[in-house]
Amino acid sequence: MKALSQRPAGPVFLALGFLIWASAFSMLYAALSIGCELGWNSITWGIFDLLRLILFMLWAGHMTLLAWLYRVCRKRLDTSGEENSSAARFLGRASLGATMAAVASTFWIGLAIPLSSTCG
Amino acid sequence: MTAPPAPPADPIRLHKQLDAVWRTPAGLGQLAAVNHSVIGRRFIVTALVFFAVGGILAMLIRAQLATPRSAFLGPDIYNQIFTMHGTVMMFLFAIPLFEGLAMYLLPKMLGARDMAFPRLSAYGYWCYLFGGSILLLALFFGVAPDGGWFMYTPLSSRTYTPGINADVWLIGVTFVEISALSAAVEIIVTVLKLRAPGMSLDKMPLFAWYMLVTAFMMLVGFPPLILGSVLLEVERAFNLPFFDPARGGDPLLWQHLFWLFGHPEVYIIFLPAAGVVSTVLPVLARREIIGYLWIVVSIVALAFLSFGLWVHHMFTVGIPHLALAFFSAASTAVAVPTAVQIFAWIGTLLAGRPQLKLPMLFLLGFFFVFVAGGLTGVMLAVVPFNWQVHDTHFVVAHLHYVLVGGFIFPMLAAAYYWLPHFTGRSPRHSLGTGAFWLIFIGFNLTFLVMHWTGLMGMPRRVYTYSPDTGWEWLNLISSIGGFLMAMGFALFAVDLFLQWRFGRRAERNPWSAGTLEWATPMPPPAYNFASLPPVTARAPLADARDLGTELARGRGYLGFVRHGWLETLGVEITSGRVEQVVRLPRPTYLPLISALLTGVFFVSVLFKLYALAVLGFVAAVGSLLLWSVTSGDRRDRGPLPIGCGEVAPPHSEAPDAPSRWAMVLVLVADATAFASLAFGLLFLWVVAPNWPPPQLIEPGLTKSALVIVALAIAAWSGGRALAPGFLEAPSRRDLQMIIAAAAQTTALGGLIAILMIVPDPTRHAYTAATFAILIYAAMHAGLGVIFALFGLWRSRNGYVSAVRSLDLRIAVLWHKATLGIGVASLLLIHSLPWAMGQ
Repeated sequence: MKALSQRPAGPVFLALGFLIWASAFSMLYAALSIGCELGWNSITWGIFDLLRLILFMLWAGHMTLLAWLYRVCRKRLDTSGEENSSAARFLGRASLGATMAAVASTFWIGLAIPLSSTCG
Repeated sequence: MTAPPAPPADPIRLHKQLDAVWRTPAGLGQLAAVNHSVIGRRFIVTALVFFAVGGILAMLIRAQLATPRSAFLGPDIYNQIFTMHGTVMMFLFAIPLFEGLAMYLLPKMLGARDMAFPRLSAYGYWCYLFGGSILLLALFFGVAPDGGWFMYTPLSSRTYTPGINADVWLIGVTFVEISALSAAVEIIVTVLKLRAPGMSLDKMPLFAWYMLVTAFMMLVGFPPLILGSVLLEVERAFNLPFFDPARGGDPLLWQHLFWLFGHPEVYIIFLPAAGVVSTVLPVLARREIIGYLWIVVSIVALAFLSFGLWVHHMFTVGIPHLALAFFSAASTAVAVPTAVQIFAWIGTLLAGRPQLKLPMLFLLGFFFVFVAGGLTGVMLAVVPFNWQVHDTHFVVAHLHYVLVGGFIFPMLAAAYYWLPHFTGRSPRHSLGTGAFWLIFIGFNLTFLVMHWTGLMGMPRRVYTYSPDTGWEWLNLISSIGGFLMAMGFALFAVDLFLQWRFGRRAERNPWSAGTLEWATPMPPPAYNFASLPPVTARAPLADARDLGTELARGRGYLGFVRHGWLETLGVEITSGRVEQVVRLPRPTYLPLISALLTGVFFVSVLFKLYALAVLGFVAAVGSLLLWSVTSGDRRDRGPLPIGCGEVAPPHSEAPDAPSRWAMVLVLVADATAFASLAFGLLFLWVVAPNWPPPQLIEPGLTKSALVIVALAIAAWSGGRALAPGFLEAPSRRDLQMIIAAAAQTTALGGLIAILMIVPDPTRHAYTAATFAILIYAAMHAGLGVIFALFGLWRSRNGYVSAVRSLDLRIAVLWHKATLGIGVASLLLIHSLPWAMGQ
């Protein structure tokens, strides 16, 4: 079986980056709501609190996943030679572009975590 | 395998042969129409009629607001009128219009003979017509919805809207949304599977990309609205308190469910119009569009980001700052992919040799109006500004700039661009330029001024205002502009009529476009292409101007009639390689009958005739099952010749048939509805007042374990029927389906037993939501019984063989989904009491 990075691009890869973005967005919103309900924001260590730490870890986890996906897409594109059809090459480039957009969107959303009050 | 039927040498004879099998019968036979051109035209014409109704309602609103203390309309009528204006324009005009355009155009652009599921198109149309008629009749009888097009609770709850008005909205809109969901499935499968040979994804017209993404958005955007509507109707009818804060419910749950649909809805409306821009603009700029790849990436980005904005309609309801920041960030981010498309269009204009023809005039109007609306959208995404102008006329101005700019102007361009295709006529003297200027000036007069009215503090949805507010002359200008715009639309309607009735016969491909719809005769025959084109480029007609003539001579694929079948080709998704011959159904009254029976169900619910509703539901499901009698094949046929020296199996023998994809997509929508329901329960737990509930569900773990085991057996035995050694042996295959049916029946019984131990669902939102989740799972098990028995019936009647296993594969998908939903439901209802106890 070929490694993921060596297979020709499928249409699913076009959406994979933003599916990770959607997961990040949903989990951040859900964790914030549940954390506020359960009072995680009141468990503090200096300027840090448990809720913010969990949110940061969720965000960082998704960013790591996206970085991995970016690497896979990049590798697939680099290794896609003439043997792949024009459609596969097109999907490879589009998937890379969509993944880059998902990275930027996820990063942009996460910027608020250290800056805003949590449950206020 | 047999040799292909020889195509007639004479194109006229080929046309007659094809026309005989594809044509919709005249007279009453028109009610049996399933052809995509007929259904697409019906959607468009009906949507335009609703647009006229919505427009008249808008005129009444503007007449009322033109002067302070106006006695033209009373508050009760005014409430119905502004609610119906929004409802008609969003649900009965915008969505059905682009669905109709997509149904009419997509097969022609993709080089196919019809949509993937013609009967589903027809069923969707009838549901739309009947659901929309319920809403209009209610307006006629003075009992129309009157709580705003978003039906906020508690205003729309039984206490504050005791009459039938809110029920009309909930029932009518849900009925109409059946057509939206069926169109979504139809469009996705058609774009993915029913393309011309060789049309790989990178050669697909941009309009198809836009419609593909839009349809996916509809598939996951509409279920939260449908679920919310069902919950609110259940609250109103049976007193289950999902939205009642006194009993653990929360009105904000409605807002979440509504806007989870409502904000993506804006992009669901915009994207098809953007697809029109991306199709028409390069033709009139006389060059290929710049940035095809980046436009595709932008559409995907925009689709996802648009689902992260819904809370920006709720910035003032008291949400934590960090949550506001998340949604504000997503709201600003969505401007980027929109801007990428705008710059690609501007770049194409700059690099090309644009012609200022009528469609281009409307596209320029689109640029001006939509960009202005986009900019005020960014303003509204910023929380402090949003707080200031929330629920004022500034928001009304913004949304009209976005929706009229982003939808109506491109659709007017589309009308003038494709009208020769629909009618076979081109204009003698167009009134379109005059219509454009009246609409453009009238629109800006109405809504540009409204920004100021809003900034001066005029709230939305008020039926009058006092003469000392300073809003008087601004409102008067808006009303004058509104009437000017109405004159523009009237002129447009007259122009269309004149062109259709008195226009010159149009030449083929009058715009010198490159997409395949212009390779059909004009107006197109029911079968679109006498033979299907092989595609090697993104703009097939640009390279072969006489392609239409060649196809009419039968020099493509399937240039013949075989056994009187309606055939088109199915392809592999990415490469466009031919994979199967898809046999399509003939005209039939079944979609109309099914829609009528569905209507019996909805109308019975509206009038609280629940016994009749149950009968209607059972009859509707039964009539839908009847569709299958004429589907499939009772013998193996092997690969069939398709012309050009190639062969392909019939879809009943292909591994990746369109109907399998349809089931996958239905399950995606199903999972979204379930996720919305689960979100509802968790949301109420976390946010709603009066929690924890007075009484929790008993553990009942034995029953739950029994349900899960039974569902697992159903999924396992359903899959086993397809395994080697079973599939080719009818008795062993049938036994597995009997086991699956028995297992699903057991699971259904177990779920009913658990339902019996749920405390009174009217006492608290917790028990109401738990009850709803269990009902949802039980309905799946019930349908699982039907799927298993249906598979058994198909197997025993010769529709299943070692190579024809489509019915069974579809059933297995359902059994697996039911297992997933059953496990998730039981985990949720058992883990929540545990979590609440912590």
